[in-house]
Amino acid sequence: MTALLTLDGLGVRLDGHESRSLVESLTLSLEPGERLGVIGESGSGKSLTALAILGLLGHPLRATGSAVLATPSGPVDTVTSSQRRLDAVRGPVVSAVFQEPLASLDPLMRIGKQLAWPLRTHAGLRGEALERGILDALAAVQLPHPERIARSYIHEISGGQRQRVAIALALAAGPQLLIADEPTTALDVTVQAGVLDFLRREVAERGMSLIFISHDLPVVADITDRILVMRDGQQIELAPTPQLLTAPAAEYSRTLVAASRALDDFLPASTGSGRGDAA
Amino acid sequence: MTVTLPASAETDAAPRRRSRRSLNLVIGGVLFGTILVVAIVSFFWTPFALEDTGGGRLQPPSGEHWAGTDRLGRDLFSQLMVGARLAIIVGAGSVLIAAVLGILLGLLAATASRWLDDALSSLLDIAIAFPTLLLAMLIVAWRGASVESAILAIGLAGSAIIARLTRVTASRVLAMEFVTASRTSGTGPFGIVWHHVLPNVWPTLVVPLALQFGGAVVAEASLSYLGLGSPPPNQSWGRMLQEAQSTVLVAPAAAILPGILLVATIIGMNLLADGLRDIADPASRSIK
Repeated sequence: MTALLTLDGLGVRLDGHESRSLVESLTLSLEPGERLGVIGESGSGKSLTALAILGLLGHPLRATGSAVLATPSGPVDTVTSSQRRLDAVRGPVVSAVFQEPLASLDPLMRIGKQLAWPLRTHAGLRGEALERGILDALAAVQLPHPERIARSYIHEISGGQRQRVAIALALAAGPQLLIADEPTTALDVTVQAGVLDFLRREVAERGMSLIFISHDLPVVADITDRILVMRDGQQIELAPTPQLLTAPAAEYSRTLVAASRALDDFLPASTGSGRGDAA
Repeated sequence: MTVTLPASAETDAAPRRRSRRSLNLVIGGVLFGTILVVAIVSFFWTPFALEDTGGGRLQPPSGEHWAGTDRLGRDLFSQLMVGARLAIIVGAGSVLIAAVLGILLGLLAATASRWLDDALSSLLDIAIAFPTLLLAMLIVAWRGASVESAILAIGLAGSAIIARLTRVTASRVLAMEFVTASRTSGTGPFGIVWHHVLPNVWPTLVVPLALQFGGAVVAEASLSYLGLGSPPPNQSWGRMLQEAQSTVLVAPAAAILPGILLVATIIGMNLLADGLRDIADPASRSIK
């Protein structure tokens, strides 16, 4: 078995309310290099699933079942492992980008310094190699003038640049699996297209697996091989992307596909293909 | 598209506010800097020795005795200089104790398990409610009246407030998304506290700590006034006030001058605190 991530009955519960589960028994496996989309409305448990896989659910939330990551030092179940074990896994094995780049970067630390930590602890860089590593990481996410950006605070750069910095931070330790939790929702459409293009290329070049969480079906369809549809914490449907778009099995999936198709039909044909070109 | 009224209003107001802040910084720096220099000079030179009683009793300020003399004939200016030294030492020492102990306790409470956090927080509430002077008297009763006792008492009392503030701010920082993001990129718990929590807690602590410095100077003066401060011959502004009390109508300078220095030190420190906040917080500094 070569799966990078295996979810077996993964769920999220609220402590003290054992009867009620926020996410219920997700079961799937993710191969290295595979790109999985997770789609669902707000409150469907998409982000909780991401945090559960990262082992970052805080009190009073608790994960059940198992989420096993294949790591170089053997399988790690993020539901049951100690925080110490998880600290070694987060970064080099699994990492994440969140929705709001302004909130996901430290406002009081220069960008270069934020990147230094994962590069030092996980890639083992020191001194001059560390300086070069920081600039390389910033250049890799196509930020202009890496030297200037490294010296900047996050309020000194633009929203699109911030999200690239957040991606650079997530990629710094060279993860095998990147979880992108609505990474483009806070950006305007043209910047969004640029970031998506960049994310797609980066995933392909590094051979990473990707879990892309969004409520925007066209965006998810654009970047993934398989799509998991969630609603009220339940797994509604899991199908290859083309199949989900053309022949959705579940009633809810049909509604989602029909809704985005209705929008496409409404727009003149020429603007429908504009997504992804502008950057 | 081109309506930028709120932005331009802000850009008009911000520099004015900033220049007032930097004016505060300058005035505070000058006041506090003067006291600091006097305190340092007092280690090497005072016009007269503190034990020198040859100046005539209760003299008004003159060319020889710049601030006059007390009822034992000692030079008041020399006493004021030594008092500045004591004020700075007690202020700095107690703020250091308050900062180190307070930040450690606060971070511990913020990161500890729920029951330890609750226990620590309740203890801190009790400690905050406990009067500083009463705590000081207890410590003096235990260790005897000395500079160290005063520093310990004032520092301990201050640390409870700093700890409370640190706990609240640190909990808020820990709940922020960038902490989660940093954890996902592989930063361990120690790295989170050291690299993210401490720098983000620090700006909120700078001003209270600077204010505590002023408070510590007053507290020391109060203790010395009550006879619980440092024993003679080390002079304190508080004891100078107490000694001048009985002769205030004959020699008012002996009571007025220590009072003015106390006020100047505290105002200087408070203005400095206001200016320091901008330096500690780069986000507010770069508002253009």
